[in-house]
Amino acid sequence: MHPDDSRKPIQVNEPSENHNTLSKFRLDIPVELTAFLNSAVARIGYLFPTARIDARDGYLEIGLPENLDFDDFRQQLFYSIYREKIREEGKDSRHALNVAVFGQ
Amino acid sequence: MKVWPLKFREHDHGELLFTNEAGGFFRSDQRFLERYVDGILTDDDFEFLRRHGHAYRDTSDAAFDGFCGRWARRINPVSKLNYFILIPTLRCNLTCDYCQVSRAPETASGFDWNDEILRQFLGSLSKLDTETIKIEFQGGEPLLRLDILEEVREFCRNNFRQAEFVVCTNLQSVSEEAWEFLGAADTFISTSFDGVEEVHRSQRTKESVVHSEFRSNLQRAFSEFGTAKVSALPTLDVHNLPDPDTVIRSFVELGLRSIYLRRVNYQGFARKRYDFRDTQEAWMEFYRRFVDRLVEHNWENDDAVEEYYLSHLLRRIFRTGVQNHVDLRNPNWLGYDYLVVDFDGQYYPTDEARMVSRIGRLDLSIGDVDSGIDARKRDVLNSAASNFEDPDCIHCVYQAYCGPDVIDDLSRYGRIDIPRHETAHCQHHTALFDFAFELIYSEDPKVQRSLGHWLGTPKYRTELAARLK
Amino acid sequence: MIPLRVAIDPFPISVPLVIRLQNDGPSEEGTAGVIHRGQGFVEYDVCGLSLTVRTPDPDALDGDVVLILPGQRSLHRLIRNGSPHNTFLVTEQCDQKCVMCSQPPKAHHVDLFDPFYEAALLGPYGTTIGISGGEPMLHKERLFDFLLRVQERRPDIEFHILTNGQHFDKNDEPILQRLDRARILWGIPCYSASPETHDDIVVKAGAFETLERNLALLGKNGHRIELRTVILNANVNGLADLSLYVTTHHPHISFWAIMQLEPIGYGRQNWGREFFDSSQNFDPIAAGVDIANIRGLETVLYNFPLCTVPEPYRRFCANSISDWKQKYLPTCSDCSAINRCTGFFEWYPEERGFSSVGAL
Ligand code: SF4
Ligand code: SF4
Repeated sequence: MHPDDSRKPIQVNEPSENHNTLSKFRLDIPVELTAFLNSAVARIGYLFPTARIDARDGYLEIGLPENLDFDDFRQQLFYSIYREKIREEGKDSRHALNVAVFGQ
Repeated sequence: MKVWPLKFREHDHGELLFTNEAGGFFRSDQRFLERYVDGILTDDDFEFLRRHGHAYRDTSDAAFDGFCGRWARRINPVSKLNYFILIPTLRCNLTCDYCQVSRAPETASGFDWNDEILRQFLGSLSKLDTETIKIEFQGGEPLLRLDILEEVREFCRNNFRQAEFVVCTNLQSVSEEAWEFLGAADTFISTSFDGVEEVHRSQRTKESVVHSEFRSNLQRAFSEFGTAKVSALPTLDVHNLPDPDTVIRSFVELGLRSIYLRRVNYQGFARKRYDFRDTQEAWMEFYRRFVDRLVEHNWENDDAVEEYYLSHLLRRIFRTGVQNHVDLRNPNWLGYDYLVVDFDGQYYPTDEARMVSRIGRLDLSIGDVDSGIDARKRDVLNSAASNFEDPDCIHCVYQAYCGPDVIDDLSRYGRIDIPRHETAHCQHHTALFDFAFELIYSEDPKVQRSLGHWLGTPKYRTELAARLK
Repeated sequence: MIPLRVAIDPFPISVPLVIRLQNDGPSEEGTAGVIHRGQGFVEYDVCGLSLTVRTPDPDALDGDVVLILPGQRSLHRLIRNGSPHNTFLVTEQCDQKCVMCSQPPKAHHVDLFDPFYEAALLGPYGTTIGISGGEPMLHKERLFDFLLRVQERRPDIEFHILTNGQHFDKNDEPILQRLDRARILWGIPCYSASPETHDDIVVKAGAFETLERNLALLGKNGHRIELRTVILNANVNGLADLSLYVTTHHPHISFWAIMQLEPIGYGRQNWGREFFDSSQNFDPIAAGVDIANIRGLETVLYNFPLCTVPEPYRRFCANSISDWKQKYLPTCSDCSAINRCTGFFEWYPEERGFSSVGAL
């Protein structure tokens, strides 16, 4: 699977059916990224509706159905965190842009 | 040095495409992404980023103003109403396969503009605040109401400094009076030609007598008026796709250099039967194959040919201020600069909105010739006119080039708030932009030669396909 | 070559005089009608005084707006009737000393804005007036005042103002906003995206930085800019870079004129060192043009004879050399492209010029 093909339609499995068949993974999140975790997890949650993500203290507990590869999933999750961080850190520039273009 | 927020997406060979909100782009790798996110960019990184318009020293830096200028020029401004698509009749003399909803039988009554509508429409024209006007006559088959066409054209010629008319006709039966009407310098012809005789015939004309009438009218239109005045658009059915070379050859034979590949836009039941998701892959496979053949054609021949929408996307990628195609703009203001006036005098923001409303799924009309624009309904439609705040688009590398399609979302899903990546519009555009960037970064001299043609310059320059090592 | 100055007999005025010469019709305010034609001269009636102009071809002067300065034995044809190339030379002072300058600066300045104003009012409808120097913006209060006054009386007139872009600042913004921006095109040179190269060429330290800031200032205030780049040996290899730079950082620029060297003034002195024979190698120019096209910046090639340019790029060439200093070579008389071709400057040194010129 192409790792960034999150935009392809995702196979939707009924969660109740594969609840037991989810493989569990632990994913540590570097402390400097934890601030962006909530929004990233929310986003990943709807991009991968069949995955289970539980936030623990300083790490995530992840449950993946068979058709999702952990490395790909981790990649996507980190991309999501990066995106949130970049967006957050771009606030000042975006504000300066708005002031310059619209005067506010 | 500050870096403008970058968005990224994985492309071929493990490379990442980075773009900013003003549409600047470059490719780099995971290591750069990590340096960027960790805030440990090198001097070389900064130097590259500033040079390519992704970073600035402070707000007095020309790089800052340049970015603001490029960003602002990508915003589609609200512009004055000066373009109408008219449906003077819904009646048609053909029964094309995918056109059930937008036609009525030739002999039916009650599907034409009446005198009242015509009078009200002309009255609304005289209130416009514009010196130039463009009128597109659609249908049904508009030539069935040549009298209305004449009257509208005469009125516009007398009341505007500059007026232009397009007749979207199937060229099926064209009377001598109609030929004369079409011959005027301010009047253009747009017709459907599916590119391959058998396809055109099986989808549209059906019987061979009927088809040969069309064929001879098409020939006559081109030989009499030339390609400056006549354009032909193919509509293709994903389940019956033609051979690209044959399509290219038939267009070239007519002297046409631009082919706009449009997929049949199924409505109603047909839409359920031919679900977008099942056909998207087949369509893209065909589309890529078609463009490959174009590239080959342009390598072998001097008369370069383009696929119109691909060229448009390329121009939107490289340039700012490209707002000339109403289907892809951001914000895509609905019901401002152009309006569709249906056979019953109703206003619609787009032709698709008209068709969706006809099948009774939703009512997307925004007023009528009698009472004018319904500003409240228009405002509702425009509440999501831009992709600036869309929670998915804000993270998308293609946001600066893309634009929303509210009507398509409404017509397919009945709502506009579903995740982008689940919509046909987004999936299709993501695939198209992926493809466009593959071409932009291609090292194949044949592809590069075509890119030069499509972007209107003698030679494509790879300096514009920047890479940060 | 069309003469821009024409000899006159001594004429008794104490202030500069601007009048429109005309063959027919009575003289009224601002105009002078012919009263007598002689052998090699023509006499005009200027408010009752007789003005004798020494010319074998008085018809060529019909409708011209001319300037006569006290004590001078010639008149200046400020607006030649029907010519698209009329330029008011505002000053000969300049703060740069560009290696290709066609009008090397002088220290002395005579203020002619008042006669220029009168001349503009007498110009034909919709005419384009070039403003040049030296550096016109060294006298920017007078220049802005002139522009505002003309625009008030003659909103139809277009201005093309050549400036080095060094003398704008934030305080000019209110005036920049008041001017009718749709009728002004600022022609501003930029030679390189490398500050050092640009500064070397204009012989002024820090010029690039100031220019960069002022291009942005004009853009922000909605003014139209034609960027002008004369190609030299010193900058030609940086043209692709310059194209990238301009389209990235100055998106509001309307046109880009890439120009061949004019062999006059410093351009003549430095010809041997700086003339780039683009008939031998067009690649660096092509790269600049292509990048600008792809990015949507309209480019024009000025002063390039068509036969020196590869065929695909000829459509970007403009017939740019002003009529009064334009010439063609003997080979041009057999050329099918002569009507579209800009030809050569009157003072073009054939032996030291393009190595490959020939009828198309
Ligand atoms: S619609 Fe899809 S492709 Fe377009 S900007 Fe939004 S997320 Fe990107
Ligand atoms: S031969 Fe003379 S007229 Fe012809 S293209 Fe060359 S310079 Fe121009």
